Amino acid sequence: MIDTKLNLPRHGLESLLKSVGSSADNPSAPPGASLAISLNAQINLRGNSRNKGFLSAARKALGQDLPLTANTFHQGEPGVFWLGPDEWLISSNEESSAVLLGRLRDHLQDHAFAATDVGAGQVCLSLTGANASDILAKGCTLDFHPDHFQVGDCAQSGLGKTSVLIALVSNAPEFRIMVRRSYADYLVRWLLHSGKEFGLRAGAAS
Amino acid sequence: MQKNRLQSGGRIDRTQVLNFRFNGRAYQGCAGDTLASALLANGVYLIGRSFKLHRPRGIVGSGAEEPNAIVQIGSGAATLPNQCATQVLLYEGLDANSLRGWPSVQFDVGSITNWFSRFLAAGFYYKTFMAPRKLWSFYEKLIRDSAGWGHAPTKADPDFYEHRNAHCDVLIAGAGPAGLMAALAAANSGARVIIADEQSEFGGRLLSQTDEIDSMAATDWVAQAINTLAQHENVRMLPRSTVFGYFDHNFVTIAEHCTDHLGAHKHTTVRERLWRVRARQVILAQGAFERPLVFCNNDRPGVMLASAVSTYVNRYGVCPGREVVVFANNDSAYRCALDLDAAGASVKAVIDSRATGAGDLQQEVEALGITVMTGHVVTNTLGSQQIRAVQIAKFSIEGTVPATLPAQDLVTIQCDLLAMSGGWSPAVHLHSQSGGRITWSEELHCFVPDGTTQNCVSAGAGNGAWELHDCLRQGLEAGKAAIEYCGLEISDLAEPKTEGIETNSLQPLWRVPAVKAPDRCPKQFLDFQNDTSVADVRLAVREGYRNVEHVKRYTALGFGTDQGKLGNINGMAVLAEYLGEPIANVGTTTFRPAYTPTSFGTCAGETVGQLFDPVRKTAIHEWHEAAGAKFETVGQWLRPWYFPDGDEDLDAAVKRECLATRRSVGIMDASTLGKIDVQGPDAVKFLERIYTHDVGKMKVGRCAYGIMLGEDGMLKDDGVMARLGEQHFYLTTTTGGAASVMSWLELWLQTEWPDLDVYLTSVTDHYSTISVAGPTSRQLLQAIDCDTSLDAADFPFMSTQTATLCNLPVRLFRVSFSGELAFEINVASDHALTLWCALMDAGKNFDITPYGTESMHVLRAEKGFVIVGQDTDGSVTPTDLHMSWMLASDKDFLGKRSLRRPDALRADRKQWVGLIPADKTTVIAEGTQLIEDTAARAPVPMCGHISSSYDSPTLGHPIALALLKGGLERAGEKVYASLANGKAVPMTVTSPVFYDPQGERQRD
Repeated sequence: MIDTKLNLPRHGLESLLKSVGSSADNPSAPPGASLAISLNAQINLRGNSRNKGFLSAARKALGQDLPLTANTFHQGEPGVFWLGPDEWLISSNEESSAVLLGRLRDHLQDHAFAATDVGAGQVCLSLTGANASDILAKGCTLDFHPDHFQVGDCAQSGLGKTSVLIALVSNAPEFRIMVRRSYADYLVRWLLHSGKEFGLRAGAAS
Repeated sequence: MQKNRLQSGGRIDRTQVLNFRFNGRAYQGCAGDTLASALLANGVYLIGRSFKLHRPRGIVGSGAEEPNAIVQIGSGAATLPNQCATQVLLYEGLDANSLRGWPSVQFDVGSITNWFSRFLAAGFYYKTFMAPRKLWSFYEKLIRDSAGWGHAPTKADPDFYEHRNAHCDVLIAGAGPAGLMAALAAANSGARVIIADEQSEFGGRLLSQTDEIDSMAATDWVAQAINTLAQHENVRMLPRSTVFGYFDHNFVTIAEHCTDHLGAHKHTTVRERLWRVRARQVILAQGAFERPLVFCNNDRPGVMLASAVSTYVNRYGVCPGREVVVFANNDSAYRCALDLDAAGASVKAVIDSRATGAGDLQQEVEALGITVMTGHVVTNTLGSQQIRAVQIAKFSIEGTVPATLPAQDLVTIQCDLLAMSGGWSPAVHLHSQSGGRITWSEELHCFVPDGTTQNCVSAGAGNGAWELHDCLRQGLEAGKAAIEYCGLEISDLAEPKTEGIETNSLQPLWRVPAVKAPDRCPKQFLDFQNDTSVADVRLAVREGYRNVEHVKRYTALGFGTDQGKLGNINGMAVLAEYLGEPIANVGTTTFRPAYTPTSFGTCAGETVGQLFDPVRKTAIHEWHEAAGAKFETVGQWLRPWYFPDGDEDLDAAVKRECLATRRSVGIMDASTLGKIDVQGPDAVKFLERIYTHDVGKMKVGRCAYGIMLGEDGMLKDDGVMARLGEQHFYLTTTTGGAASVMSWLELWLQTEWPDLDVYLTSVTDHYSTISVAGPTSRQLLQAIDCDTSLDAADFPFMSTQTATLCNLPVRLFRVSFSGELAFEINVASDHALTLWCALMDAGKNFDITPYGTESMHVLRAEKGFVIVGQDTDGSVTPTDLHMSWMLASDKDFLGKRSLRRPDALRADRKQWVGLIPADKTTVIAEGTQLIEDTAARAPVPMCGHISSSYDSPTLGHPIALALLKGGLERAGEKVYASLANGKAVPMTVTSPVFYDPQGERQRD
């Protein structure tokens, strides 16, 4: 069996991204933003956040607390994003979905929960640079001003005509954008179009 | 030669000469000009012909209020219709044309209508062209050709547009003295500020006046303010940006015009940007519109607003006349006389309707030797295509306005320009859009904002503050109040110093009487753009119209591109006079977005072309593309429709694909199926309530075909359900139903059954689904290293198991939508393309044939499998579809009770049948109605309709599926398909299952 840590290409998106540099209005100007695809394992976790046993078992499985504040996430390995009062997204750059799933099931077996591999169903994009929030503002109604959307904040919202999870992971600023795989082609095209005036380039995948 | 251009002054750059064309003739203007100022600089007064009467018209105003100077810019795909010349910035190579006037705007055949204008009163078209009705289309074409507006481009817009969302503490609409002052106050406190102004430069009226602020020229003060604001990171300044819509919760829309002023460009950058702003506090400082005065022939070219004349002199260095008469009922027009005198024009007289005359300004004017005639009015103008003289008369209001003026009193004064001012009307449009009230001020004689429903405040001339110091003070106060509301610290910004003057109050003068009654004297225009005159409003009242909204629609007062910005208030006041009611009671028509015309491009933004709607692609899409598949859209998904071999057409490809699947093996990308993972202790309880069959009896590892009903008992969606564990299920939905089924399930779970411990997770995108179908499908899987037994004994029909295929972890389902032995393979989407390629590779030995949605439809139709949404339409019960056996009797489920309604039990319900054309050759179009009796007279009773229809490659003749009244009992009977050409094709009613009715092939 091949390694499920997913070193396979996200079909088609790489070639789309490669066209970024050449389509910029002024290729020699410093890019106002860069766009990359980052690969990671993702698990959707459901459970009762009022159940203390569930919370502590999840902490043991993940090495950190599940965020209980709406629209926040815990960075780290794995990262844990709040999606709803009983729903989290667990994202790892280092471990495979199978390993994460196994550990969650081991620890949570005494509680009602659902842990589902969704990694192959989502594409994680990284949008970095001074104009990153200007690009997002073209298609998302959230306020990305540093006073309002800070590192550690995440939100599920519309971007263009798709639904996404947006998280601010650093003050670069670097935004992580999680989108359904089938919409990724559309969203990358949308980002390329919207980022054109800021010289959006392809960046290094993390 | 720019004969009206002043030697110095103004904000234009005389060293930058710009060439442009108007109606085919070449002219020159300067950088900084608008098209209007450049035309006036060249002495072009006649700009167009009026809408209905084709009267010659010239420039009246200097901004958004301009009713006449509406032009077509450019040609071809990027042509812009109905542009306001006073708002079009001049650029090199600009090419503008009048909208009307044939053969030319100077000699317009259409002006013949003006001779009959007495008969073309309000309602003329309604009254005249009502009968005979058949001729209306003929009349309509004539009228449209004669009236009409600019022409829309016939090709796709080469420009692009975008939307931008923004948030701020304070949004300021208008960057005149009040707006700038408010912005300075807010910016000083660190607030996030957006200040937008429709003009190319900030400053508003300050750019057109000669005032001083803080002992410096007002224009210098503006430059200083802009500099200060630019230093604040949190301030966004948007020139050329019209705040055009004010919606709920302080949601405000701004149209930013990014490139039009640059002229010829490569269409590579955004032309217009729609800002969608959510503001905590809005400050409305859009200023006020000067009102014209209403007298005979007040529409003649050369009759202009006094403030516009000042603007052309002071801002654009253009003196629009040599010999000028000023006519006013208030003090502000005296400034125009001063400006004209300074520009070297001869001001023949200032005609003031007030007996008292003006305050300080009158002395200033008289000190220059200019005659001021108080207690006089202009009652008529003379000339043809430009004003030549005015007729003035003595005037006094004693109680009411006199009905007529004595003819013997008329005095004629020669002039080539008449500057008029009937007072000012605050631009209350945005305030009104926000839900704010407006009231008539008896003191100011205009509508002013009065009470808001949202977090907004009006300041400056838009709030009835005419004097500069009032504007600055109100702006400052509004800025500080906004800061206080936002909880920020108020800075100690001081009010700038200005010199105040004494003024006399305005005399309300809504129409100047003529020597004859309104319907006998030359036209006294209220609304220039729609040719609405005093006589029209009078007629409307005589004919019984009372409500201002009705009068608007009868007389066209306030329609058009300017939406009555110039003439509405005069029109409403005249209406009030004829109704004998106070203006406050008459009120205004409704102010709706958009404040000024806004392009479709701005509304559409970037959502055109490939970004119009998302295209969803499966993980195998690349392969389909490379294989030359023809695609069809299914919802937002792009799915292979068929895979033509060479130049095969649809029919040939489908025939080949279907036969290969029946004889060897076909492969299809079914990844678009909705997939929902269900886990939790109450999973069975939950699914029992959703699905009609007995979920609890399903063994782990087994699959079942399941249907769910709406509360009305009608089929809602169908799919395969698999039990993966005691508390773990996996559901598939139709492609189109994926999102709605997920929402439906969550709705019940979250609102009705929150006690159930069940979690749903969409895995539609995570798993790709590859369906291999056909007699050799088992051998194919075995050929790519399947690690488990696929024999029927170990892996029976309607069961599922995990496996390893080609070294990839997969889940196999033995289900079939073709009626053949088939396997649906679920694989993580990251590996889908790899697996697909491996199957295609190994499949070469089995004559593997990829097939698309069309063949899938044919194969399932041959087998009589229903497609929800094609064969059903929300009015079909399971019984209608021969699915009564799926309704578990010993449990309750959604929709069950509705199945006992009398309507659900009717014998003549439309029920599902198969049909075969008697001639075995005609393929009937889907949607065709069925009838019983070909001899029946129209309207022929219909007994059903065809929902699916194909030429079956397997059976060798056409088949159809249909919903037929009482169909369950009608096998063997004959009905007729009624074609659009009037013919009827006899059809034999059969079972909907045409192929392998025992289902032996799929159980193999």
